[in-house]
Amino acid sequence: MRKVKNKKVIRKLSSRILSARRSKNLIGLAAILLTTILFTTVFSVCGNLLRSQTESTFRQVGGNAQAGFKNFTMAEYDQMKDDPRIRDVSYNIFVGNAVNPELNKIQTEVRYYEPLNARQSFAYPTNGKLPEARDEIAMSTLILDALGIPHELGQKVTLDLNIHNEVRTDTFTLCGFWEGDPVMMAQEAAVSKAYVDLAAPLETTPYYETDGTDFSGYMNVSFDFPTSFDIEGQMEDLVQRCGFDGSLISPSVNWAYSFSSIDWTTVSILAILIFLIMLSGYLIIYNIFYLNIFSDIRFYGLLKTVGTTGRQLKKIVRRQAWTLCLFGVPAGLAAGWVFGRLLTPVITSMLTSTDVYYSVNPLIFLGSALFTVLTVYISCIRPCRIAAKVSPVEAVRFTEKSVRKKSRKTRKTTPLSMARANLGRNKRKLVLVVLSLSLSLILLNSVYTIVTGFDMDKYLADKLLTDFEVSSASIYNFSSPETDYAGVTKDFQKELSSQKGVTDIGNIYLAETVHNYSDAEWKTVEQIMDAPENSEYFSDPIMEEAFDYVRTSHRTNVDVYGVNENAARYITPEDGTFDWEKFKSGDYVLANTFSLDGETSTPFLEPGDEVTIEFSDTVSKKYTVLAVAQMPTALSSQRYGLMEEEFILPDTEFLAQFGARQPMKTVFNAEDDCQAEVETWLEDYCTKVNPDMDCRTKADYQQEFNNLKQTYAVTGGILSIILALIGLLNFINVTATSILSRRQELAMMESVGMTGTQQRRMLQWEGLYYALLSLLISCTAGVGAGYALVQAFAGQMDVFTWRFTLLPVAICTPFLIAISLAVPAICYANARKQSVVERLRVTE
Amino acid sequence: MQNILETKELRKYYGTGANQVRALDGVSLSVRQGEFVAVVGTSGSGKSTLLHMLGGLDRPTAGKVFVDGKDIFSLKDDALCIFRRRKIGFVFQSYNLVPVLNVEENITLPIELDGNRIDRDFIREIVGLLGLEQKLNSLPAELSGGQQQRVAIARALATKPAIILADEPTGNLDSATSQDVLSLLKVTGDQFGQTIVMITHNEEIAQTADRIIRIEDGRIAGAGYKGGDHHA
Repeated sequence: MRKVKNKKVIRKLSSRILSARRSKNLIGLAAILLTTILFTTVFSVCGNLLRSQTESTFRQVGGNAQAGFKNFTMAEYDQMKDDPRIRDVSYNIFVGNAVNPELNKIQTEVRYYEPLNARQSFAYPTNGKLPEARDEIAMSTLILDALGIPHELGQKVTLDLNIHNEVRTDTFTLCGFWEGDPVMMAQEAAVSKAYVDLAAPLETTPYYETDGTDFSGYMNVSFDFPTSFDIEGQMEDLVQRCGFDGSLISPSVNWAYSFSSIDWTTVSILAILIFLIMLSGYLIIYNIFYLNIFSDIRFYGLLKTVGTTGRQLKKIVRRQAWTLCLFGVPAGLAAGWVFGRLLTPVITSMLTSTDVYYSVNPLIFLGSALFTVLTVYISCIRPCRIAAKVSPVEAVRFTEKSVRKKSRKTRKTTPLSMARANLGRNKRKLVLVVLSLSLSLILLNSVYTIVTGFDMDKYLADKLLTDFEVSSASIYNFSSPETDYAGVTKDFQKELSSQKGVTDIGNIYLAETVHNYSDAEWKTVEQIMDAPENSEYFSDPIMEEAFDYVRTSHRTNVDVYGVNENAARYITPEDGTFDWEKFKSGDYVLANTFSLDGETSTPFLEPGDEVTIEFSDTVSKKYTVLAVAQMPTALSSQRYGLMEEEFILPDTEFLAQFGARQPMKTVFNAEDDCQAEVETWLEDYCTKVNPDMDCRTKADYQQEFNNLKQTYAVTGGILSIILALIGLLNFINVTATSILSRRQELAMMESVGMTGTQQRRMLQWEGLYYALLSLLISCTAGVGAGYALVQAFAGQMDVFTWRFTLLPVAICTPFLIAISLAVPAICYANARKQSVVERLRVTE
Repeated sequence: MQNILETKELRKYYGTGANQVRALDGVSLSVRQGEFVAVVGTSGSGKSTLLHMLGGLDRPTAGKVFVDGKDIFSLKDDALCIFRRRKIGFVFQSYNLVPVLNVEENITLPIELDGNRIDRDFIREIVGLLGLEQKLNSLPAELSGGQQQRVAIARALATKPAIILADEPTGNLDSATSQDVLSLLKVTGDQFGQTIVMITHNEEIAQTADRIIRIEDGRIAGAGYKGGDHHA
């Protein structure tokens, strides 16, 4: 094929076309601008959130270097420090932990830091300097606070340091401090190199040759790679290059850089958002170009007549789009970034509690620009094709219409019937606008359904049944080495009962004992163990030995609860009647059911059965089962036994048999006007008076619950607002362009006697049709779609109850109708600014 | 005979100063009931502007238009529009049919806009006269140019207007069809006693009219009855 030098003329034509219709370009430009703004806003909010998350992870990790080695000797350090592929290599030397009694709640690590390492580890003094002299020290303000030392340079600080598993006490002078961050896992103190040489000189034995319990005198090295991409892989390469044995040394990678922390919900929300923005951008940009092509179709036909090829016409159209992008995209990027910056704190505060950091990552702008250009490209495909396919003969007599329908029956003509006929002219547009409007209504309705469907009582059922509960802190702290199941002290109980406004004090006691199954009981237990629906549980290889023991010995460990009358109130019997008066006599017991999934359940015993409970090797007593009942999760120990069998006794009987002990948990309510006081007292008691105890309040869960609700409300709300915006923009666009393109037709109708009022009414009817159709779809098919949507997002959650509602749709209805009436009226008023004659002349 | 249509010193200026275009510069004329007048002139002479003024589509810079003795520009826009649809029928060069309405609906549109009952017999009569019986349910896009123009004429006649204003009604048609449409226009005008003012640049077509008014540079350059019966 011959290359023809025609670029110049193509360029000239497309720029002439552009400058020929300034006002139409403005609409196109606005659409591109809007698309870019939407993309940039979303991307920069995401970028900011990601950065905030990364920063907060840095703080938790205690460093922002990409990777490092732990417990190195100087020899090992020398072996790798000059590697050409790493930069910013720095180290610190671990001295020991400070073990002053005042510091028992914060882990305090003492190290020597190289200045760079101190910065990377957030241990660089903001006041004062890093220590140089042997008796100088710098530390986080949190340590100072714990020690009760004012934040002043020159203060004397005495620390008990555990070095090489021996405690050494030294007094230092404070030479620097920085704001401590409670998020960090450990608080740091920095000492001088001189002190290290004295107290914990560098070790020379490789750490892997020691018993691995003593870190004192070992170095921690950190460094960055040229990129943050595939840090694990780069780390492996480095280990090989330096000749280390990867199985012996401990390389560490900062997990703030690993993208495994991105969760799929966020990703899918982002994907949906991008799709929606692209769709909206497409709808608007496409519409504008489509209409422009049609209004210029004669011109394109003419170009073709004089010999422009289809490809060239395509280029002419595309060039116009790119020219608009040239102006629209950069402006949109700037505006979008500003919007993103403004929006981020709002979203962050609603979703998480981390501090806000802003990102100016070029990827944000690159991505937004790319997506916008992609959207514009896609939007132009069809208009380009239309322009390319223009037939020079047809174009000359072309007017926009897609009704190719054969003759129709004569009907009475009114503004209403004409409006209806006009709707049928472009079904595509009708479908798109109605769909996007109803989609946003459906989404809004679903979000509302979800948010209002969250049931606080259901949410609390497994967590808290009363206003307050108290138990040993070890029950709440999963990492505590030993759990104290009798942690509510006498002292606390005494204070509690003297507290004003406290009501319904319930005590729950717990004991574990060995239970020997009687022959009758064993039959039931064997049935349970052999039932096919339970086979997975009982054939778990890890527990095999334990279950075998149960089978051979016919005995197992069971939990026995003791409850007082107030606590017993929360127990609902599944079978039999639970009468406290009868129960408290001490001859009765409550037995539970075996249930794996909460659906199928088999009672261990039936009401009226007799069961012997052994309290010790020698003491046992025979009880009658009063009712079958499960301890409510919120009141239980929340630990799981082998057979999950438990018995409940009244507290008097429990204490009489097991001997005096403290309750596992105490639950109580407070009168409405005393809630705040009780809460303050309780929290104060659990932090200051007895830190071994901990409490949960309804307010805590209320907060948690509201956060959950808010997350849905915010993400769903933003999505529906964007959708609504898209729907409205499309509606405005469709209305404006249809009035614009029918200007001549409207003028003609005016010339044959259709008054302005009648025309306006006709156009308003058209708008109203859009609104009513959207509402109709939302209320019919939308209900089904909304139900599916809600079930998909919230159906699995226990706290959610589906309730039918169309309230949001009802609330939106008047607004939608008002807009559907206002937009055509405004557009028409605009079109009427030109006289009938001018409008009639348009095509002449 | 009474003057159904009269203009007094009608002026229409566009722009100001050096750029001012005087589309109409003091046109006074009168048309009697039942007359068929052709307005001829070169393009840009102001003939279309005159027709728009006569039909109340555009307001003049100065001067008055009387239809049936009424000063039409004393009316407000909507009232003028209603007056127009009762008194005046328009026929355009580009037919200007409503694409979403079928032939019958297009014809009856002005009547229905007025909320009046349709005089079915009358419509049938027009339709018969114009040979559109077979096309009543067709949409404009299915018709030929001549057929569309006949529908436009039917629409103009439907409200039994006193005046029909035709703007180059045959401009888009071949000469055979042009003659056809023109004679139909004339026949219906005679039949229903309507006054017709037609713009054309075609002398031959103008010759079918009772009277020819020549417009040049926004002024009346000459007028003549067929057979040389001059009239001012």
